[in-house]
Amino acid sequence: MAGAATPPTPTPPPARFGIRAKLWLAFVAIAGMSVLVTGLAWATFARTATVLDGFTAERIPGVVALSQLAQRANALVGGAPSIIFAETDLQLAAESAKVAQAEEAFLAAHRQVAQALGETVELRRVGEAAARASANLQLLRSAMRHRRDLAAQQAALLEQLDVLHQEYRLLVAGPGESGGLRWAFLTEINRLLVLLAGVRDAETAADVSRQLRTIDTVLRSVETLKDEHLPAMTPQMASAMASFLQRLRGLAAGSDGLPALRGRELAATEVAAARFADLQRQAGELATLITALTSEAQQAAGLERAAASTMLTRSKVVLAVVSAAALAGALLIAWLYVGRSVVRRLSRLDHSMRAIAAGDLDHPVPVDGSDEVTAMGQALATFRDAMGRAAHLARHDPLTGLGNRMAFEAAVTERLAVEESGAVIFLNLDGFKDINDTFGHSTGDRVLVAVAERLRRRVRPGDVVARLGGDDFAVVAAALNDSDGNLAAYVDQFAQVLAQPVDVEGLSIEVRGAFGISYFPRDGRRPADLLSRAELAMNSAKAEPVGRVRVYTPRLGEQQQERKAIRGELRRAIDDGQFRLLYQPKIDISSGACVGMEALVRWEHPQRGRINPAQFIPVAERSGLIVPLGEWVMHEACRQNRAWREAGLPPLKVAVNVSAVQFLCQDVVEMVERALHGAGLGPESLEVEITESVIMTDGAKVLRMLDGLRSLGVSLAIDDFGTGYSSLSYLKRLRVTCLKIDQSFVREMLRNEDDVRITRAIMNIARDFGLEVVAEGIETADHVAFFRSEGCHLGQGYYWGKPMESGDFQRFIADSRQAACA
Amino acid sequence: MRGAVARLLLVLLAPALTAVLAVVLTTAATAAPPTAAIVYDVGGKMDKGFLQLAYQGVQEVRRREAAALVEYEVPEPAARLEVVLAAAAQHTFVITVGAGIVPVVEQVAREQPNRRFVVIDGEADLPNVAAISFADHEAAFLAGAMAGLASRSGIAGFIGGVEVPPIRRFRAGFRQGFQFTRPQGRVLAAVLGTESAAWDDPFSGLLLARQQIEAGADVLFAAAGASGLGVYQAARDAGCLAIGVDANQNYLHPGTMLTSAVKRVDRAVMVAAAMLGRDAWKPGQTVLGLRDDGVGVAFDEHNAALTAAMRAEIEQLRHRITVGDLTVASE
Repeated sequence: MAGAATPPTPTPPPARFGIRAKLWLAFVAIAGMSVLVTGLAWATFARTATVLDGFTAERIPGVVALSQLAQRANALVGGAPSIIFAETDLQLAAESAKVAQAEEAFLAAHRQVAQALGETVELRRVGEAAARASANLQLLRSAMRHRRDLAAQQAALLEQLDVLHQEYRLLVAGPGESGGLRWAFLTEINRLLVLLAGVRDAETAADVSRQLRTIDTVLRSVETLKDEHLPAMTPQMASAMASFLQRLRGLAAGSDGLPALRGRELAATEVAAARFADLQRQAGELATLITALTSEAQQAAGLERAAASTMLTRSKVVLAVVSAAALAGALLIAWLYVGRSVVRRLSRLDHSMRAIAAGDLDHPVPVDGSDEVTAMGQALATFRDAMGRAAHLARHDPLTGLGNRMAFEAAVTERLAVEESGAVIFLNLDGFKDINDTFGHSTGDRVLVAVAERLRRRVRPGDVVARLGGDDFAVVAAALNDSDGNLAAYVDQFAQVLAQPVDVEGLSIEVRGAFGISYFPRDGRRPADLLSRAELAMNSAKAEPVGRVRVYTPRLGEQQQERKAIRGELRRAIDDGQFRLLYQPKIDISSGACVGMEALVRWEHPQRGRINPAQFIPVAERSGLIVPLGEWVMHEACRQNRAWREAGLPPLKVAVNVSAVQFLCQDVVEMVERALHGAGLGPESLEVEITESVIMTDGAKVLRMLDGLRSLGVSLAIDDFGTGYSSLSYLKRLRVTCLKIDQSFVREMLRNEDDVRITRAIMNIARDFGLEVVAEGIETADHVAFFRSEGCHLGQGYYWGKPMESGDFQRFIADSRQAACA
Repeated sequence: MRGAVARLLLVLLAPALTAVLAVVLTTAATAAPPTAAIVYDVGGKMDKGFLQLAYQGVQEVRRREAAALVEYEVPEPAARLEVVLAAAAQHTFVITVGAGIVPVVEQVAREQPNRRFVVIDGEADLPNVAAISFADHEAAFLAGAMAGLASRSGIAGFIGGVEVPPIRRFRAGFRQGFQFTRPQGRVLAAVLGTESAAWDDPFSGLLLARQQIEAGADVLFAAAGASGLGVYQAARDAGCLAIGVDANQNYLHPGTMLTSAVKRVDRAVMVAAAMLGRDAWKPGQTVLGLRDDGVGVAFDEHNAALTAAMRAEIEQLRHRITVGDLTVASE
């Protein structure tokens, strides 16, 4: 199963009424409200403008026209004094024209007012009052003209009266002809003259009519006297008197006489005065009317202004209310759609996100609604599930589905946290690497899966099985009360299930495992410590042929400590020459002659004494010190062989073991060449021994180096042949010269027919390939007899000699030569 | 680039705009109303009567934009010819208002046949003169009938301006009307003078009215132009009734004025102005009577002496005249 399975890209559901739509709705709503408010403001402005326009277009011209009307009315009635004081007809005509103009101007103003304020009764009354005033003015003007005309006529008549007066004096001074009565007649005439002259001074019509009556009386008396006296006069005198009297009569009587004229003049004066007084009254009346009109107009204007201001105030209130409502609406929409529906859900989503980020991978994700937030929620859910998978992967082995090292550590920590005791069981499969190498990784993987499945099935509830990597497994077992017996039975169950062969693609692969156990909290509280201790126990168990279950003990720890010490001292040991080589002879079985020897390294530790290679070689291999150690071994072996050659020993082939690690870490060909060259030995004097595992390690590189060795002329032997999973095809390709039969076959051979058959098979193979065969571990004469009978040429073992010091070996050679010679 | 295009457009459009403007101006010029002269005879157009009515007609014509009227005033009788000539020199169409000016108009019309004249309140028989007169006697008849109903003394006074045909019609009509309702009634009739100046002599009117009042008249009808103002004043001073003329003069002396014998001179001015139009010229005589609402008697809030019964009777008379049931002689 692929752990990094990409989750399918979630397609968000079509958000029909998503955030975009909501935001748009909110924007549109706010914009609409703005438009509404703007429209309202506009309408208010327009109404105000209309009201103001009306105000300026109607009321103001009305008031202006009224004030003009008042001016014109003043001008009209103000014409009266000018008319009264006009001296001449020309002036009077001019003044009259002015009055007419003033009236026309007044009428124009009146029309304007009528246009501005409308035809009202009051306005008509003003017009009529002005017309009455104008009529009065005309009457006044006419009266004044008549008065002046009458005055002029009277002046002319008075001049005539003067003439008559002079004539009268002449009459009086003239020759007296008529005696006594003449005086009376003259007196009456004189009285008439005086009366007529006095008419001019009459102040009232009553005066005039009284005077007129007197004058009439006197005139009648004069007429009577004239009739008496005239005949008595001389004709000349009588004619003169008649003319005089006629003219006197013309002055005194009739509609053109002095009294009549004076009467008419006074009447004119009286009419003018009355009209003037009337005019003044009318002027007042007019002014009152116009003032009333003006104040009315102003009042109307004030009312209109007040109405406009009220309307404006109302508009303002309406505007404010609508604005506030629009704002509230906008806020509500923003809250409902953006705040409640989006922000609140976003914050919930944020909460979920934080919880998931904090590791709560089971936290619910809100996916209500059907908009972008929902899509985000779904995406987050997908993400959370992916995180869950990743977390699972982080704690689980993708191949087997078991927990991994982290899960193992978590389980241990968890157990320790609740103060529980338990055990860590470490399992490693034997030879799993060989399975991989032989059958391929996929087969190895199937084996691992099968093992995991068996462990999982067998494990007790509450216990945790983990795969730590490779073929390492661990079980965290709970509460076993440190009872080794219980645990042993438990582990035995595992061993039993593992003992069943695993069937993979027709193959039946046998699996064995080694178990190591450590207890907690006894052996430590840290998972890593517990694991390493269990592993230590397992390693220890691996070394055993049977049982293969070991419980960690502090001694195991000590052994490990020892290995650590070895590792620490190994370098110095190489430098200080604490190593030495032992040589075990290789014998020609048929002749018993020694044909070579295998060089075996020993460590003579100054404090610990001799240390077994099994103890330090793995350490050297793991630490890489195998390279300088192997180089030293190679040089020492070559040097010793040369020394023996020079000491007169026959040419012997020395076999040197080269570790697989060396093949991985250095150019073995070059190293061998250098060693041979340094010792001055030919390649025929050296045999390199390798294990089967070398061949399996790194095909191409190792093959190339093995080829190089063969090209040098060095012999090549496979050590412990038959114990591993070797492929026979290598034998052909590697140009190996020798096979060494493992001593385990040889040792069991006499009891076990199978081993005999294997040994024979190996020998047959070697024969078929033309290879030398060396039988190792020959201890008895029976062995020797067997191999001799089987036609095996070479042997090695205690039967002939243990590994020995160089000096002992030299003696052994010398002895055996002597024996052979003997 | 864009600036250049704009400039080009402006250059192309400028003549077109000018042309459009010219067309608009020309149209406006053709749409302007025809002009004519209007000559007021002696008396002043603020006479509260005849001439002022004509002036009101002029205002109405102007308001309706029927014609553009240029006003001329005759200051004194001697200036009539001069003023009419001046008007005829400036205008091809001259309207005159007043009976006194008619002979002068006839003289000028004969000399200038290419000019057209309309005389208001006169008669003429010339091809280039149209005459508009009023059935004054019909209005005066109703006024006389009212006077007959209102008079206590049974004596009414008639004061004319000058002995001219309209005044004769007024007097005849008044007398017929007075005697229609006062078969035993007597009408004192007088004219103020022989000259046109008599139309503008209120003081003389006042003196004459006083004489008639002294003679027993208690309802005075003045058909004397501005001179009537003196008659009304005298009637008011004496507590008598007066009858206005030409315009509705009731407001001049509320209570004193019985009614006014109205001559719709304003309407005559409008009729005259209408003759300016194409094919509207109507030479010869046009008489505006009761039937045409060209004359009448005025009823308003000022003639307080009028009773409802009186009014009903007058309305009846008026109806009879209108339908031709009653004929008023003009002499």
